[in-house]
Amino acid sequence: MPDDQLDGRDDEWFAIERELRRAPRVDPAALARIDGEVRALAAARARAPLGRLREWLFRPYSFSVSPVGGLALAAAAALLVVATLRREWLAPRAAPVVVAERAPGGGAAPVARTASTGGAARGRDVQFVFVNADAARVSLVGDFNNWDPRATPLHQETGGVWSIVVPLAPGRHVYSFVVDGTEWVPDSAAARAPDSEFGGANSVVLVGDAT
Amino acid sequence: MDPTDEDLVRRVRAGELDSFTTLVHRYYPRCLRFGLRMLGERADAEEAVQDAFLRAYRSLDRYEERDRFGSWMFQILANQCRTLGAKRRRRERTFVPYDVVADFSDQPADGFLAAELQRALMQLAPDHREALLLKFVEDHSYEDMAEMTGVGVSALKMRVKRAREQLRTLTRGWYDA
Repeated sequence: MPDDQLDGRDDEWFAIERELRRAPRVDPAALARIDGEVRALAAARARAPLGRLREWLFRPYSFSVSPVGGLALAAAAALLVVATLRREWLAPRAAPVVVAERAPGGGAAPVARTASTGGAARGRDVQFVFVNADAARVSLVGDFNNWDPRATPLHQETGGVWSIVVPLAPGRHVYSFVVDGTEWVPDSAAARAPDSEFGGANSVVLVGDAT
Repeated sequence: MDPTDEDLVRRVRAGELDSFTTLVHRYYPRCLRFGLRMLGERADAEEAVQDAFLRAYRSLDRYEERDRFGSWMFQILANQCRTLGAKRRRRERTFVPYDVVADFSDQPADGFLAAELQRALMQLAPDHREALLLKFVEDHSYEDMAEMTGVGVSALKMRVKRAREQLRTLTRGWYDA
């Protein structure tokens, strides 16, 4: 025992200490009050799930790990990172499938391309590309838009390229391009539809299942 | 074998409220004794102890296992007593010594002397009284006390020394064999 505690602890001091250490009378009602308050507090917490969630999120947690365990955890984390990066880099891209393409020419010579990029819930997103530097506007008509020339206008890009991506259900679709609202131009590189309900030539695209 | 304080804390954190009741029953007598000696009134002491236990329950998530529950509990209680004592001083209420004879389970040989001792204790400065009680009545180490109070060990030793000297002066001759 340190000297500062022994110093001056004579019989008189021990008598004082003994008196000060006397055990108090405990009122059972006071204990019951604390118990009741704590249970009320716990019940209030249970009724407030967001409060508990916040408490859980902000509560500091501590854990211990051995050096070997720490190294194993670090190695596992590094492996996870490497595997993720490899998967990201090496995964085959969903390259557009070019159905038909031809170098742009002047005048009305069309170059149409359909490309499937996948992703539509009901089928696939199919990209239609039309090249005509002289056109003022180009639209797409087909059995998927009731052959309405105003329904699916293509967007003009640079170099006379027009394009649009249309989600199509799996199956066979007949389509055509409409130049400047009047001239129906089939996709010369795509398969030609054997007949035409509207008297002109149309093209065919086959859309596979998205899965 | 009785569960340790740490076992009980873990169980409370897992939602077992009965374990907190066990902790209350385990520490209540010591806490009440400290409260009574610090505040000199039963009602104030019971209020301070009750508030301290509720605070402890609410803060249990912040309790770290390297702490000892007893020291942690007394840290909260000492704060409560300081707050209540300060409020009482602001109210300038006249101190009426509590009924020492009625408030302790084993009766002192001399009830009058016991009441006088409490009166003498109340004459010490609150921080000196707190240090003396934590050291000589509740048996905390100076290191624990430093953690509880935020006061350095040297300063605490000085407080205890002065408190004891003052108390001995006030009670000189009372406990002669």
